[in-house]
This record gives sequence, structure tokens and C-alpha cells, in this order.
Amino acid sequence: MFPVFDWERCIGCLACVRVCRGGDLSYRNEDGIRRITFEPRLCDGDLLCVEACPVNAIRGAPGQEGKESSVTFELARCENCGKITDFTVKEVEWGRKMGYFNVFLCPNCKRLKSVLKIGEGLE
Amino acid sequence: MSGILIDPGKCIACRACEVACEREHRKSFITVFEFESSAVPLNCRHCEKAPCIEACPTGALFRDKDGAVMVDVKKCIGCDMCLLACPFGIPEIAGKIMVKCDLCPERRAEGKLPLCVQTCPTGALSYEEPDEFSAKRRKAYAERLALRRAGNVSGL
Repeated sequence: MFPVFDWERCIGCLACVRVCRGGDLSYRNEDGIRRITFEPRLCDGDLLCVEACPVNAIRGAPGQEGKESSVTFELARCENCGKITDFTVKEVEWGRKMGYFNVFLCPNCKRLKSVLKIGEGLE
Repeated sequence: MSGILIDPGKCIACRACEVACEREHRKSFITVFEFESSAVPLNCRHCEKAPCIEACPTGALFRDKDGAVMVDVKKCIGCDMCLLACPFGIPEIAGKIMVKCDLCPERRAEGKLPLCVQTCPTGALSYEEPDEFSAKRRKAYAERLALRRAGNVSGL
């Protein structure tokens, strides 16, 4: 069995890339764009990626699709400081839909917002 | 379910907690933020309803018997979905897995306090039940109010 990717559904979170042992899945962040590439000839067919995907965008299918495929995602900017983050716009949309946040902040701005709230009224 | 509670009015930004944490974990999972006239230490809040546990695609995050949110290093793939979900921006990737405050499990097993709490010289960090903590803070506030009414202190 080999993975088949539904790139429409994929949010570009890299869970599959991180869990991949064959090295067939790789990524690159450049100029605010993330590119994920699948090279089927390196795939060992363990389907760990299918298990790891949080949005069920990968399924196992018999036989191997011969051609390389890749997809690009726009990286999201922190809605406070404007810095490009390590999360894609689609991940942010997903996180918002899951109810994790309304305003998307980078880790630094999240921490700062939290301590300001904890220390409210002290200044 | 106890946790590390922060009383920011008491923090003097000495950063002893950061040093203590680094001694225990080789990397500090608590950070002191300094402002003009105050300071606030911040570590993982071990949320009662933890979004990181929910967001983890491999089930690597779990709650231990003391209520601490822990990482199973064998399951974590370092994908950072926990960071996306965390409202406090706490999880960090070290090498290939996520690391964060674990409330010092070895110390807890021996009945000891987390090392940052043990070390904090002003009591800005405490390890207790949230209810106990709020009750104490209410009492302290009421006492200050009473003192001010009595005219004993000014500038409160």
C-alpha cells in the first residue's frame, strides 16, 4: 500500500513529513511559501503518514503512483506583529475552525499577550 | 489537581526560576517577562481543558496522575500542531520533538515541589490548587483594603 494525497484537503502542517522514515516526503519554506514534495520512489509504504494526518488528507492505495507530486502553501503572518510564522494560512484557518483561537498570533505575541493579561493592573 | 500558580505582584525578575528549571531540565521552560514596573513569569499552564492534547495528531500528549500535561517522546513527531493550538505559545521544538514544562515528575514522585517553585524567593510561584490560590489572593486583597481604610498605609 502506498499513500495517495488529497492536496485540496491538506493544510500543510507537516505531520506526515515529520513522521516519514523513507524520506519520500520533504518540505521547504521560502519567501513566505511552503512547498511539500512527495517522491514515490523513496516511499517504503509503511503508511505512518496516513495515521499522522490530522485532516485525513492521505489514504493508502494498492500499487504505486509513479509520478512525483508537490504542492505549495502560503505561510501565515502573525496578526499582531506581522511576522511570517511557521504555520500555513490553511493551518490557521483549520485552527480557527477548531476553535483554538480567533486572532492568530505568533508564539512570541501569544506569550506577551498572556503575561500582560496575568499582570494586568500592575503597571 | 495542583499546578504552578503565578502571583505577578511578587515577582522581582531575579530569574532564579529560569536557572532552577535549566538545572533540572538542561533548558528552561519558564520565562520571566519584565515590564517597566513589574515582571511576570510564564510556563505551561497545564490547562484543565488542554487544546494541545486535542490538537496532537499522534496522541503524544497526555495528562498524568497529578494533572500535568506531558509529552510521550516516543509518540511525538515534532509537528507543532500543539503550538498552533496553545493559547500561551508554550510548546517548543527541540531537535525532533516538542518540549515544555513537565512540573518536574521525578521531584513530584518524591513528594517535592517543582524546582522553580522551590527556588522562587518571593513566593511569586506556588504549587497548589487553584481554589486555594484564589482564596489566598482574595484574603490578601481584603487585608490591604482594610489597612488602607484604617489609614495605616498609603499608595495602595
